[in-house]
Amino acid sequence: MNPGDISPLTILIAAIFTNNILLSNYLGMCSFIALSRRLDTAVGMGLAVTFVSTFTTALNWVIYHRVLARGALSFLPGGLGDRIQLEIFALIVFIAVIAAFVQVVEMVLERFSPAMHQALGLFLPLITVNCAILGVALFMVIRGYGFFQAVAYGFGSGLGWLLAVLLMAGLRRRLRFSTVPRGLEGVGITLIVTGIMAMAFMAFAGMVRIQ
Amino acid sequence: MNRHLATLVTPIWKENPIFFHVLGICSALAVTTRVSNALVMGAAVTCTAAATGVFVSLLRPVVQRSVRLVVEMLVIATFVILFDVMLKAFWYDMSRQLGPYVGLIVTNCILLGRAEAFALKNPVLPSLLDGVGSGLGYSWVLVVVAIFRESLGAGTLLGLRVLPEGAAPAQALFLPPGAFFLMGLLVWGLHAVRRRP
Amino acid sequence: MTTLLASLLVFLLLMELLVAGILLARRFLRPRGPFKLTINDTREVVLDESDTLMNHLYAQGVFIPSSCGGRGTCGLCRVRVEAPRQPCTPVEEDHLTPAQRAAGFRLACQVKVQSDLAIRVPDEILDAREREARVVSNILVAPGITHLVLAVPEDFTFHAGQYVQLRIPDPDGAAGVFRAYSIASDPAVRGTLELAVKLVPGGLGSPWLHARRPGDVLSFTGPYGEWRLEPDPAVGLLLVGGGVGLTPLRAILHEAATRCPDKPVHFFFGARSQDDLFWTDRLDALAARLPRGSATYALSHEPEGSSWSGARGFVHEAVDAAWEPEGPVQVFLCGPPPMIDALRPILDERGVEPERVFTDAF
Repeated sequence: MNPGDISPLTILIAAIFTNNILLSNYLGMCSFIALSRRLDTAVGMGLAVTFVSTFTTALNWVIYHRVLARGALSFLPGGLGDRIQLEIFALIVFIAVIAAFVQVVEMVLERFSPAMHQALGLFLPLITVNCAILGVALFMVIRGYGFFQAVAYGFGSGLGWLLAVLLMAGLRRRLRFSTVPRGLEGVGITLIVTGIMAMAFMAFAGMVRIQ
Repeated sequence: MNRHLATLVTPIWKENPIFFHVLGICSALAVTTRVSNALVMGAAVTCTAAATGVFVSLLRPVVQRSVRLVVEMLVIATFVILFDVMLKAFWYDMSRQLGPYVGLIVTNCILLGRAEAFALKNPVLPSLLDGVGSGLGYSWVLVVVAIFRESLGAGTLLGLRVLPEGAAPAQALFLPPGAFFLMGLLVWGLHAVRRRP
Repeated sequence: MTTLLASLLVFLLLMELLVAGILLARRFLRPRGPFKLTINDTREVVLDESDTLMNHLYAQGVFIPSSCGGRGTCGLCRVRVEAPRQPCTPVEEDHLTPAQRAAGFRLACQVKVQSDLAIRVPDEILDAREREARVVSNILVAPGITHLVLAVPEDFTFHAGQYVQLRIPDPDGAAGVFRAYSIASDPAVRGTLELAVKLVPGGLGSPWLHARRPGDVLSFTGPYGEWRLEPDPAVGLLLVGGGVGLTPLRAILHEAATRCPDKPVHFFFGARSQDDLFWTDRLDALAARLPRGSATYALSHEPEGSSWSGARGFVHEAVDAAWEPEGPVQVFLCGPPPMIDALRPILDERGVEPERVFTDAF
C-alpha cells in the first residue's frame, strides 16, 4: 500500500497499539526504565512526551518538507534551489527544533500555568534526549508521511509511550511486593515484563497495519 | 601506561554502559536481529564515541560551561551524520536495514554521558581511550545479543547456516518480545556472574 | 562552491531563527522586574531580574548555607517564604518535613523570584558576612585528611559543633562555590579556626583546599549550624565520629572540658586502621581533663596481629559493647550514613530520646 493513502486515524491507532514506538521500535527505553518506578512520574513524563512529540513532529515536518527536502527551495534563482542539499542536516535540525521547542514550552508553562510547570517542569529537559521524539521525526521522513499523517503519528506515538509507561508503573508497583530472583531485580525484571507486554500488544496486530 | 589501559578496559567490562549504567538499550534491542547489523552499529558507536571524546576534550579550553551541552550535541551529531552519509554511499543495503537507528545514535546516552562525565574533564588521549572503551563495551553486548537472536531465530550466523537442516528456528526471537526477554535474561546472567567473587 | 555556500547559509538561517525564537520567548515570557525582596522585615532590596532566590541572596551578601551549588541535593539552603505562599517542588519534598512545608519553608535554590517576595532567614545568617582567613598551616595528618589551621579576625565567634563555608574558586571563572566544613578548634580561642578536610578525588573543594600553602588567603562565611552543647552537667554526653566526622566533636569536647567538666562524656572515634587515626594525643588530653570522660578508638580494618591493643571492629559495635547511659543524655553523631543508621537502633534500645540525638551524615 502506498503510505500516502493511509488515513491519519489509522496511523494514530496503529502508533498506539500495533506499532507502539516503545514496544515495537524499542525507542525511549532509557526514560521508560528510569521513570516507571513511580506512577506519578510516569504520568508526568508520559504527558510531556505526548505533548512535545505531537508539536515537534508538526514543526519538523514543515521544516523538512518546506526547507530541507530536495527541491523544496526550487524558487531560488538560477537553479540554485535544486542543487542545494540539506537533507543531511535533517538530524541536527530536528534535535535543535526539539530542544528549542522544549525550552519555549518550559517558559510558557512557567509564565501562564505554574501548576502545570510544577507537574511537568521536571520532565521537560529530559525529553530533549528521549530518543522516542527524535525517532518519530526520523520515521516520519523515512515513511514519507504527509502533514496530517505525521501529526497523527507523533500524537499516537506519544500516547503509545504514555500507555506503555503507565502500564509498567502499575505493574512495577505490584512487583514490589513479589519475590523476584536477586539478579533479576530492577532492570532485568522490567525488561522481562516489557517483553510480556510487547507480546500482549502483538494481539492487536490484526487491527490495523501501516507497514 | 597501565592507567591508560585501565581507562580503556573499565567501560568494556566493569562499568559496561549497557549493563552498569543502563544506557543505550534502545538500539541494543533494535539492531540485533543480525550479527552484521550489530557489528556495523557497534562500529558506528565506537567511532563516534572516540571522535566525540577527542573533540570535546580538545574544545575544553574554549567552550564555556553554559553552552557546553549544545556544543557536545553538535559534535556528536556531526560525527553521526558523517558516518550515516558514508554508510549510505558505500553500503546502501546496510543503511536501509539500520534505518533511523544510526541517526538515533545522537540521543544514545552513552555518547553524551561519556562526553559530560569524562571528556569534559580529561586530556585528549584518555578521552579517546574512554570513547573507544565505551564503544567496545557497547558493541560486544550488541554482538552477543545478535548471535543469540540470529542463530536461534533464523538459524544462521553472518548469513551462514548454523542450525541443522530441519530444525525449526525460533522466530519469536526476531520479534520484539523475544528481544526484551533475551536482554532481561542477559542482564540476569551478567549480574549472577559478577556477584561471584 | 555557490551551492555549498547557499546550503550553509540556509542551514545557518534556520538555526538563527530557532535561537531568535528562544530569545523572543524569553523576552516576552520571562517576568521582568523590578521585584521587591523583603528579608526578615528589616531589609528591602529591589531586584531587576528573575533568578533563583539563592543567587539573589548571595548577590546581596546574605550567605545562606549550601554545599551542592544550587542543585537541590544538599537541603541546607532552607528559608521561610512568608509571602506569597507557593507549593514546593518535588525536589524540595525530600529535604523538608511536612511541618516545615506547612510553615512555608522552601529551598532557596529552587525558588524563582518572579514577584515581590517576603522571606525570613535565621538572624545569624543575616549577620554572617564574608571574612578573610589566612592559612597558618596545612598538614596531612592521615591519608587523605589535611589539618587546616586558619588565622581569622578576632571578632569571629562560634559555638562548638558549628561549621563555616569556604569559598572555592570555580574553574570556569564564575564567582565560585561554597563548601561547608565543621570547625574542630576550641570556641574559647579567638582568632584561630582549625578544620579537617578529607580529599575527595575529582571534587571541586577538597583538592583546592589541600593545595593551600601557609600565607594563602581565602574567604569564608558563617558560622552556621544548630548544634548546641547542653551546659547542664547532669546531662551526659555521647559523641561518635567516623573518620573526618571527628571534626565538630573535637570542638564539643573542648567546650565540655572548659564549661562543664563534671559531665559524663563518652567519646568514640571510628577509623579503618591505625594510620587513619589523627589528633589522638589532643583527644586523649581533652578526655583527661574530664574526670568522668572516656575516649575509645575502634578500628575496622586493622590487620590481624598488629600492635593495636584498642577496640577492633566498627565503631557502632564498640558503642554497643561499652556504652550505657547514666541518666539523661545528649548525643552527637557525625560520620558516614551507614554508621549513623547502625547507631540509631542501639540508641533506641537504651531509651535515648530521639530529639536529643543530633546527626550529621555525609
